[in-house]
Amino acid sequence: MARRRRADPVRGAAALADHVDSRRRLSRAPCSGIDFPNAATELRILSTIFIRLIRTIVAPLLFATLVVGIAGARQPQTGRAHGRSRRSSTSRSSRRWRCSSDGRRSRISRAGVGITLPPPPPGEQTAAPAAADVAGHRPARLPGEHREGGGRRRGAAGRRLQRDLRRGARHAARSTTQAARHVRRERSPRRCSSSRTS
Amino acid sequence: MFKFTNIVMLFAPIGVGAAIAYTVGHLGIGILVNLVEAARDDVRSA
Repeated sequence: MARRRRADPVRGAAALADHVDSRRRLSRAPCSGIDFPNAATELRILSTIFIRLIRTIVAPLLFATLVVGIAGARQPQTGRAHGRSRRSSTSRSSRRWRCSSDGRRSRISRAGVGITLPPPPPGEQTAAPAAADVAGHRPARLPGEHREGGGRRRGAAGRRLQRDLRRGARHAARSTTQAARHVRRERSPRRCSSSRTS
Repeated sequence: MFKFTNIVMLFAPIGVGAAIAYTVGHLGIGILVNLVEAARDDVRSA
């Protein structure tokens, strides 16, 4: 294959102009940039409009793409239902779920509370929930509603909870400022306060 | 949103044609030489 010939700009331009001129004479079609350079210069407004349209559309398109991508990536299966009751409310993973940002958000927004779905029409196959989920299921608590009976916990979490409760009581008996500090610490949003206070 | 995108896409040939016409009218047909050369090289190498 021959080496690429570096085109002499002037010669190339002249050749191209001749070529275009001959073709134009053949076709007798108006060629605005060559035939009417002054009028073609006025067409700049159209290209400016087009570029500004694109600049208008880029920002919302980018934003919408980011929003949809993030929303789809955070909840792969439950994009619409905002995290259905997918965990039993007493397990360890349930606490992790409630303490996560999604759980906190759904506790604030209370998405799904009070929804009663009509029973499916007979004959339609529905996915039955697992037996363990049904056994461990409790109705959704509203924010501020307390767990009945303190919610017995096992293991390190239970010991920590008992210790915190003991300390809270002792502090309340000893000094109000310390108790207030303790309560403040308990209510700090980084911790899952609803599972500790009972 | 999508309707607006559609409008922009429909306007694209007019805008691009206007941009080419303005460029050619302003700087002459020689400005397209490099473009034609590149396109020819692409066609040859393909």
